[in-house]
Amino acid sequence: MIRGNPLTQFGLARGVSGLLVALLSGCGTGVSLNGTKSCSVITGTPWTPTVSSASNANHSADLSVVVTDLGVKAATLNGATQAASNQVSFTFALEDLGPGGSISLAAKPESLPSQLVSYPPSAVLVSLVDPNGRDWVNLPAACVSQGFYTASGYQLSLNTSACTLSAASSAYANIRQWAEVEFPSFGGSTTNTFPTCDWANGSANNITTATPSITPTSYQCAFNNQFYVAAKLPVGNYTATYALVDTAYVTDNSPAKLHLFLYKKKNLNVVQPAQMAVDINVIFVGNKTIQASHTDAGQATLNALFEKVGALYSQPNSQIKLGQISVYEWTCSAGGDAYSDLDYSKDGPAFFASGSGMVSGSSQAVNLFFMSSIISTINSSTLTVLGFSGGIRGSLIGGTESNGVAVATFDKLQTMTTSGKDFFNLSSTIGHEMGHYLGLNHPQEAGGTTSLTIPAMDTIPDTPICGQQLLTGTTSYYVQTNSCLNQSPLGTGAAQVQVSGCSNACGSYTFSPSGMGKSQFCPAVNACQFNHVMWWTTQNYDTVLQTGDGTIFSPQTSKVLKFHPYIW
Amino acid sequence: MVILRLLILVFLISPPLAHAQSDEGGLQSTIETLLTLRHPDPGQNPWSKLPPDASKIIQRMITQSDSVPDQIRLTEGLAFFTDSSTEDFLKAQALKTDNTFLRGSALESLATSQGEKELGFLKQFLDHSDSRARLAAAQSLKKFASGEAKDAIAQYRSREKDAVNLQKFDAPQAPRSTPSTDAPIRLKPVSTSEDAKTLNDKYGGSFSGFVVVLSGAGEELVSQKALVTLGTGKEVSSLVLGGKKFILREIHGVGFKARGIWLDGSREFPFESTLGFSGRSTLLRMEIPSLKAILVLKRQ
Repeated sequence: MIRGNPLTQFGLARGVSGLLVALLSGCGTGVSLNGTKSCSVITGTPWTPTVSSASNANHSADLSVVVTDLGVKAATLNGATQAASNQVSFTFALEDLGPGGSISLAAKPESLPSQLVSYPPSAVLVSLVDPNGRDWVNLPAACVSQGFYTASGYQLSLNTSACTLSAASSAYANIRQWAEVEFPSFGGSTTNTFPTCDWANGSANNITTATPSITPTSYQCAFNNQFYVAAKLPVGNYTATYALVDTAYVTDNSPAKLHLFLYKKKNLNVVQPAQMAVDINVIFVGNKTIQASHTDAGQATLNALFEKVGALYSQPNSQIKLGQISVYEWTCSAGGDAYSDLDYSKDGPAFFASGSGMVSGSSQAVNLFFMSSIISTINSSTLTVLGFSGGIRGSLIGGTESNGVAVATFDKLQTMTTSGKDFFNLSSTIGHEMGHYLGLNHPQEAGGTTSLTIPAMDTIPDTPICGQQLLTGTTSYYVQTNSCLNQSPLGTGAAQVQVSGCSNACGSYTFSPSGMGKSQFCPAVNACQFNHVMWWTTQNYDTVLQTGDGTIFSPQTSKVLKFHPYIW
Repeated sequence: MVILRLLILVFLISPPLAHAQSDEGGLQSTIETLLTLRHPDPGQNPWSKLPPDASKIIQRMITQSDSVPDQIRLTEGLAFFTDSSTEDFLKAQALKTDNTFLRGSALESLATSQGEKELGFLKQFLDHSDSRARLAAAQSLKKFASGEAKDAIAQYRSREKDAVNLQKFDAPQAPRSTPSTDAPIRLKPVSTSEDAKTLNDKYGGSFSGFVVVLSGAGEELVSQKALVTLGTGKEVSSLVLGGKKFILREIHGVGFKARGIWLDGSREFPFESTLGFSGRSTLLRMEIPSLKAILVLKRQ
C-alpha cells in the first residue's frame, strides 16, 4: 500500500481538499516554442457535440455525391490586365444526375512561382461548354482578349467595359457575380457550382436602388429557360476551360499547374428529397479556445449554439439539417496560438490554407474555426470582426486560402449565457458565415450600400431589397433596419409591393435598446430584409424578451443552397 | 513588370455624401448600427466620420454595455476622437479593466487617438502580465518614429518571452503550414456528434494509475496502485486493485462519460467515469461511490 502523494505521477500533487479539483488537471509539461515560453497546458475533456438535431442519419439516402479527380495540367499564368490567352481545358462526361442533380468544379492552382505562394493566382473558369454546345459562362471574346482587369497605379478594377454577362444567357446573373466566384478575396482555389439558380424566368421583385433613384432589375435564370434538358443537367461531354489569373502582377507568363476536381451530386429519386444535411468540422484554434471547450460551461454553450444553428438551417423554407459535427483541436504546439487572435486582412489566407490543410476528416464538410478574436486592419484602423468566410462559394479543397469560415468567441464560451445577445449573435453569425461559404450573398451588397450603376450581388428573386438611409451624424448611407421599415414605397408594380411589404406586413415592428422588453418583432415576415440570415448586420435583439429579428432563408435562397455538394 | 502589392479590386462606388447632422438619440442609433456589422469594411471606416460629440456617447455605451464584443468595438471607435475626455477614458480603461481584449483595444486606440505623447503611458504595458496588452502596447509603439520609441521596442524585443507575441510582432505575416510542406501536421478529430450516441472508442485499452480512498474514521487519504483494462474485443475487462481483481459487469455511456458496474464475486460496485486529456496523455477518472474511491489513471 502506498501512502502519501502518489498522484505526482500525473503532476497532481495536491492535498485532499484540492484533490477533486486537481483530478485530470495539471498534467504534462508545456511544449516549448522556439525556446521561449511554453504553451499552456490544456486540461479536461474535449467537447462531444450533444446536439439533438445533428446526426449522420440526417443525410439523404436519395442523394449521392461523387468526387472525381480530373487531373493536373500545365497552365501558364496570365497577368491581371493581359489577355487571358493562356488557357487550359478539361473534358469530362456527365451521366444523368436526375432532377435536382448538380455539379461543382473545384479548381486549384499548383506549382506556383515562390513569390506567388502568398498571393496565389485565381483559377478562373472562362467557359464551360455543355453537350449541347452552350457556354454556361458566356464571356464576350473582348473580355478575354483585353484582360479581366484594368490597372490605375496600384489599383485594379474589373474591366466592366469589355466584360459583361447577361442573366438570360449565362449561369451568372452579371459580371460581378461571376467575378466574385472566380476571384476570391484571398485568391487561389475557386468553386463553381451549377445550377446557379432555378427560378421561373425573370422577376421584377429584385431591384437595385440608390437614394433617391430606383432601377428595377430583372434577374432571369438561364438554367431554368435554356440550360436544363427536361429539368435536368444535360447528359454527355462537357469542356471546362480555365485561365490562371495572377492579380499580383499585371503581366505574367510564369509556368504553373491547375488541378481540377468534379463533384457530382446525383439525385437518386425522381422527387427532390426533403431531407438534406450538412456536415461541420469544428476546429478550436489555440489553447485558450480549446480550454474553454473543455469546460462544462463551455460545452453547454457549444451544444446550445449548434442547436440554434441547426434550427436556422432546418427551418421550413430550407429543411437542411446538421449532419455530423466533428471536433478538432488546433493546439498551440501545432501552431494554433499564432492564429487564435487573427488579423484576417493580413493572415486570413495563410490561416485558412494552414487550418483547412490540417483537417484530416471528412473533406465534404464546412470547416468552422472558433477563434479568440478576429480583427481587420487596413489604413491603420483596427476593427473587430464577429466572423468571416473564406469566400462566397468558399473553396472545397483543403489547404487552400478560401476554405472555411471563422467566428470570434472573445474567450467567452465559458461565461456566455444562452439567453444573452452575444450568444444570439454568435449563433446567427455562424449561420450567416456558413451561408456565405455555401454560396450566398448579403441580400444587399456591399457593406450595406447599393448602387445605381452596379447590379446587386444577390440575384435571388425572393429576397427583398430596401433602400439606403443616412446614418445620423455621418455622411454615410447604409441600408438599415429602419430604412427597410420606413422607406417610402419603391419601384413600380410588383416591386413596389415587395419593397414596401415589410412595413405593410410588419407595421407593429418596434425595437429600441432603451425600451427593452417592449420590442415587437415579425420574425416570419419574408418581405422584411433584415429577417434574413444573410442580412448584412447582426439582428436586433431584445435581452428581456430574449428574442430578436427572424433568421429566414427564403425559399429560392434554399434552392441555391441545395445545389451545393456539401448539402446532401 | 509592375508589381501590384496593394490590390483594391474596386467593385464599389462611394456612397453619396450628405451634410452631417447630430443629435444624441440619432447618434446613439448610428453607433448601435455600427455595432451590428459582422464584418465591417475598414476601407470606409464609419467611426472616423462621427462628429466629436459622439465620443461621450460611446464612452457611456461602453460603461453600460455587458457585451464584450460591443465594448471592444466601441473602444476601437474611440481611436478617432482626440479630446481629453477620450484620452482619460481610454487610460482608465487600460488600467482598470480585467478583460484582456478591452485592455488591448484601449491601448491601441489611445495610441491612435493621442499619438506619441502617450509613449510613457504605453511603455508601462510592455511588461504587463497580460500578453495581449504587451503586444498591443508594442504594436502601438511601432507607429512612433522617435528614438525613445525605438529603444522601448528594442527592450520589449529582448524581454518578451511569449513566442507567439514575438512571432506576431516580428513577422509581417503568420507562417503557413500547409500540406505542401515537408512534414505537414494533420489533426484528427477528438470527437464527433456520433460519439454522443455511443461511448468514445478511446475508452478501449489499458490504464494504470492510482485509486485514492477516504478510509477510516479519520478519513485518511489512502492510495493504491490500480490497473483498468477495458476490452474492445474478447478481452475481459477488469479492474485490479490491491491484489483484488474486479470484473466488468456492464458499461454504458456516450462520448467521454460512462457508467458501469464492477463485480467482486456477487458484490456490485457501480462507477462513473470520465475520459480526459492533458498534453498527449489520455486520462481516465473513475469514481466508485460505495468505496469512497476515486481512480486516476493514465493510458499505458
